[in-house]
Amino acid sequence: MIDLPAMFGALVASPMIIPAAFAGIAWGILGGALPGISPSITMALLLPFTYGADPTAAVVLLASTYLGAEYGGSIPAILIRTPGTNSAAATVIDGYAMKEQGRAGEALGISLYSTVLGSTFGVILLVALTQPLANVALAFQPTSYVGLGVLGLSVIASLAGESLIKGMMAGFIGLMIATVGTDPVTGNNRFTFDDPELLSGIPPILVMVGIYAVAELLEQASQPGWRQTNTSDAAIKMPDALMRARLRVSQIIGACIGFIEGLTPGGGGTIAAFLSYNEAKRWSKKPEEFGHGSPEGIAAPEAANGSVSATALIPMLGLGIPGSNSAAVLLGGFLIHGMTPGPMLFTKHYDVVMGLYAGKVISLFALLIVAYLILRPCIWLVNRPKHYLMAFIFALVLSGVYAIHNSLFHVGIALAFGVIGYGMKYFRIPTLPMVLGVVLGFMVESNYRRALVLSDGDHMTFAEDPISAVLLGLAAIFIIISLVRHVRDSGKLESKAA
Amino acid sequence: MNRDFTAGLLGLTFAIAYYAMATHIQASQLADEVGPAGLPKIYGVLLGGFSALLMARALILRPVVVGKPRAPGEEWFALRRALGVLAIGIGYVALVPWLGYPLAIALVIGAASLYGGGQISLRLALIAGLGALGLWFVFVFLLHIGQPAGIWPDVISGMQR
Repeated sequence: MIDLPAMFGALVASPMIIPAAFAGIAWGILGGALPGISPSITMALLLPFTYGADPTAAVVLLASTYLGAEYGGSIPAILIRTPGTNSAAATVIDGYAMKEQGRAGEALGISLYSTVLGSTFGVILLVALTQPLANVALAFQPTSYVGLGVLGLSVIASLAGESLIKGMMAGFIGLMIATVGTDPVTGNNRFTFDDPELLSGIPPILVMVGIYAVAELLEQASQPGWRQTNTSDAAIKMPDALMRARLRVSQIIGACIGFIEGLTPGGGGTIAAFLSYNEAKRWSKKPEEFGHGSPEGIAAPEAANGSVSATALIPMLGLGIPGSNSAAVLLGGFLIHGMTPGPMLFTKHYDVVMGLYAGKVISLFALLIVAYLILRPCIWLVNRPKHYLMAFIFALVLSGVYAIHNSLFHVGIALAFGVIGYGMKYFRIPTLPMVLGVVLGFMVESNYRRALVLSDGDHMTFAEDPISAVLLGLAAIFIIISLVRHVRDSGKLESKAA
Repeated sequence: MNRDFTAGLLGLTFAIAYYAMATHIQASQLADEVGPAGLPKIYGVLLGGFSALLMARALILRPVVVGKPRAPGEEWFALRRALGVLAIGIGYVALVPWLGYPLAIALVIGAASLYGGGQISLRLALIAGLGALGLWFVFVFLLHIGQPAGIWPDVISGMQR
């Protein structure tokens, strides 16, 4: 339950929590906004600086960085069609469409507002339910991960756009890309062409930067008028009462899905963002606006990201299980200071946990203030003459991609995916299903095969695990609904063409 | 031949090539029931199937045209422009091991700005230089993420000797 006096006491005992929360948010936004710098890398870069710090301030610094980085990824996603983090990929769709309509400030305002709301929801659940809910993570087996992955992939059917066949093609190409590298069970090399740089596979962020950012640069270059100045809003615009009412359902959907995904080790923000986007579209009164600059298309994934950034800490704090790379770095922050996350953390270091909770609350205010200050110069930057802007984006992409693994080979891969993305646009093949395939392919395959090894090849194991059965059932329902919609919509389109 | 048919043909070609490579994945004594080539083969077959379906659909049904298509001359112009940007990126990958990050990235900013319609001027040189300095400051100085140093460390140490 929520122990407010203890949280306040921790804040008084450790006043450095407040500057730590602000510094973490600012650093996180910077790292998240740079393509190629993941939230976990942004946090890991801070670890050496936490050695000598007060333990509570140190973990608050890291946890705030996580929130800042998750939010920061949406800034380039909206302004320059480059997701700063994997989980910002879903925000690109409607965020960039709004920016193209000259509504960048509005899109950024919706993104910030939704992240803060989603995160507030997540923090409340984190504070109130960490101990009882942490046990959910223990129930997850390889079969459950397969169910989760298939549920994520089921979104392809509704992200396919005008052609389900093309959407499925893109999804399978994504799954194929995910098979590159070392086989998860036998360790055999697959599709590596004997190149050691391909042994660990193709990082999803390379695919995203390539098909979004590089392909957009190629597309922009191929259009006349590269010299013109952009005409986006000059300042961030927070949603008014009417817009807030419109966003409510999508934010609730995003926050709830984010909560569930946060509890799930390995689920993470990317699946939550795509599932939320899909559900928000399904429940929206204006589903036709999705993909063309729908405010709900930004609100749902951003609320999910905000929620995940808090609830992902539940299994880490309650059980010592880091469900994501970022949670693992935060766990490292605890270990550095001689604290072992898990059930005993609440008895041995109760004050630090309460300090972390207080810091998470402060980081919500810090996010609002810091983002508000940072976004204005960001908008100013994207309103510069287009040839300078595009040149700088290109330089940023080349630098960020190299930074992932200090590899020029990866820069080449990102450029190659730029060409693929450009080609997909030409052939009107949707790119999102491919991204989803790349992100989920490895998780689905590795857990599918592990589950079969554990069950001696019996496929009934997926039905016997209740979590897997429920998730697979949901996936089947989603696919059937999407198929029915596609058949109905394509019928309408063909009758219009005739 | 419409675009959908071409897309289907490309998809089918890729699926066949991928499937052929999947059949050459080494079998392992540690292999499970599915094996390292199991899912890749299924993906190859399914992509091939959907590609064939797209080709058939393109042949049977009238293509649904969304938006105004470009004229053939415009398409070639667009492709050439896109290839120019790609060439700048490839040039960066080729030259940065020698020129080093700050100089190479400044050249990228300058070249891409010029390609986008900018004029050779002091302003452009300043923007390229300051942009490169800003990126170097963020990545190398602030985040301690190494970028290619180029030949300069060797040149400087050679001069000091």
